[in-house]
Amino acid sequence: MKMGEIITLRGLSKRYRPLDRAPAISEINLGIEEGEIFSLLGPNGAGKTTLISVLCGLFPPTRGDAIIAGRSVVRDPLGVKRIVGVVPEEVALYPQFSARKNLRYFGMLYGLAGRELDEAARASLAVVGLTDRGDEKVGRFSSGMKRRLNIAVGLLHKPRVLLMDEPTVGLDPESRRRILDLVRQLKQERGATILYTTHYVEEAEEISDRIGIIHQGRIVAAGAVADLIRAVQAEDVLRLEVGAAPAPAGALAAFEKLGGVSRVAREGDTITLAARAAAEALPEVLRIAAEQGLDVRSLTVSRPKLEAVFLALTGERLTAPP
Amino acid sequence: MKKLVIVAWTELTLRARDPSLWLLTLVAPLLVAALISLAFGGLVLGQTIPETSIAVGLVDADRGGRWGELGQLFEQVLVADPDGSSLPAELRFTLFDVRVIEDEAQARRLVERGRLAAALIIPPDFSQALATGNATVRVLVDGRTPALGAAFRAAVEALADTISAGVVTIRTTADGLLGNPRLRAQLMAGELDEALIGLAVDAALPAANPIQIRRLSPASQPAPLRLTHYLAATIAITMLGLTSLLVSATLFQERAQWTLQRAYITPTRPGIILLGKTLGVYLVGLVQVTALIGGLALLEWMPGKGDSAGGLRLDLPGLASLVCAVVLAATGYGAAIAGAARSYAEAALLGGTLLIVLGLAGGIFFPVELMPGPLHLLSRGTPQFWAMDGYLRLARGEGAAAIAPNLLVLIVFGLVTIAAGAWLTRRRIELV
Repeated sequence: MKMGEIITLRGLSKRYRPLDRAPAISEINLGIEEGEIFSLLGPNGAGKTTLISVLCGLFPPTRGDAIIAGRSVVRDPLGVKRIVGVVPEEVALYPQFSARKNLRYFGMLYGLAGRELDEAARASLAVVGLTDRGDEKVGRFSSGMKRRLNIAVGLLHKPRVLLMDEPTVGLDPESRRRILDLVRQLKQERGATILYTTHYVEEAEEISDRIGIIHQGRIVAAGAVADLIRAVQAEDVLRLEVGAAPAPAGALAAFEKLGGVSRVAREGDTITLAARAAAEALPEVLRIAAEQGLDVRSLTVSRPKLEAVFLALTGERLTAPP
Repeated sequence: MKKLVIVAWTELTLRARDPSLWLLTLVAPLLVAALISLAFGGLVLGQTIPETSIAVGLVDADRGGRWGELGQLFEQVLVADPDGSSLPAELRFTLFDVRVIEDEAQARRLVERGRLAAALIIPPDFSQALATGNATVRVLVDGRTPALGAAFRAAVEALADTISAGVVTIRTTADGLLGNPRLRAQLMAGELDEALIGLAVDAALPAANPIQIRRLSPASQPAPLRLTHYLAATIAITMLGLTSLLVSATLFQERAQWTLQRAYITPTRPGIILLGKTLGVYLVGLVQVTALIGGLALLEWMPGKGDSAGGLRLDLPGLASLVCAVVLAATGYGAAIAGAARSYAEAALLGGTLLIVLGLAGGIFFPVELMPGPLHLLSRGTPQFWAMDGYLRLARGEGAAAIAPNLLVLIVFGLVTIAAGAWLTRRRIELV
């Protein structure tokens, strides 16, 4: 375990019965720093939920181990459960009970009692903005409110580590926004370490300090967004809208000779250039355009996204957000 | 321990808020019981007269009197002339297979063992007592088949009437003789036969039937069991089976909505969670069966249900321990089905089918005595048999000690299936 790491995964593997099936997660080695938001990005079936389930002690790994705040999920699963909060993908609540009764029930299972339990329930409701709805039956809540209460249950015992499994699935944009703000708030105000799984690229890019890309049960890359993009050598795209007049014959060749430009193409009134560092090439591009007499009406630079990284690493596209 | 109580209590409150559970397992069976009670309230088990002969016994200990052994009259009709071809139609008791038994003790044993439906005991002084107008015969009746006993007793009464009618005829004849002045003179002169003098003396016999028939019950004679009592147990055990299926549904629902898994990922041992859930379900079952028994008892005591003497007098400690053991077995059954099935649909199909098969084999729907030998033995492999047998023993007046083997089997079945269900459910969670 490195200094500052609160979660360390060593060769973590999980294979479901029958054991001849492909492993759900395979030989995962990973370290997560205390206080960071680490997103695990991957499509459905990549192994995100299995990884969360092993980390929270729902079932043991087939091989390897995970150390969370010094406790092993293999040797001390109960110890791990005391310091980890979990927000499952499913809304794991009793619809027949009120929000407060749900919180009290799970709080008691976390060993809270009396005034401590009341205070924990009150504080958790306040964090997720449901103070006024605490005595309402969960069955009458909207999807967004249920998701927020689902998070509140995971916060009851003030965990040092919060494992959040796709907490925004199926939500409308406004509810998603509230939850993403809440995740950032948890990091800033409570200093919680958050392992957040998602298949929405935008979410991962927005909230994460670092991202791990999981594909077919393996972590294929991990790091800050910029580092990942740099690592796969993804290129910027520069688009010049030059009007309908035919471009001079030497214009495209001049662009191709520019350092850092790998591809040039013209389609209709748009010339597209692929460059490793578009910002650096921009003055030269504009100079050539002026020399060649191009009537540049607009210019856009597109930075490579995480989606491109995922595509480059796995050869597959991630599902687009709703 | 505290967490166990928390999980159990939560389970209990969850189920208490489920109206469909109460409707299906309490309201519906009480309604069915009420209808059955109204329709068959007076019927007693074993009331149907079989087409085959009824085995009865006859003990003729009569030592005879002035007119010979009058007790033989019963034997002549019932044994010597079984077809009754020489008798008037009302005395043709072809229904009975009468066996002559040596003594009363042997007859009593055979009735107690159910080998004879009834036995007629003619005492040694029968003929002498008949001459004084105060003769008694006794009929031993098997309480398990009271209707058959009643039929035999009716036959004995008919025979007694005929015999006493014969005695009255003799008396009338004697009266007539004494009323004739010539014969009276001869009598006074000592010219007539001594036997005739005796007849004249006996002419003072009462006009009423001098033979009294007393119904007897052997010492260990079981009390009669009404059909409604049998059906009450059938309904209670069947509905408990349905409750156990609802338990499966509950566990599947909790797995599907992840509340079970969420409980697992708290610092609480999985065994405590499953045990707590099981305990909660067990308490629900106890409440249901207790309420069901209470409701059935109320129906039993409803006005117009006949004399209260026909009601059950169950040994309460025995009944309480049997209910606890049966609910435990049903809870285990539900837990095992929930663990074995992959989906709720599969659990409902598997659990429901097994429930019917085990119920049929275990004597829930009809007495196991009606089954052929091998099946009778097979029925002992079902918890339903031990539940029903325990109840029937209590209904026949036996106490808690008599159902100890039943309790043991049911408790072991419950504990083993709960353990298996918990293990399977834990495995299933990994497979989700």
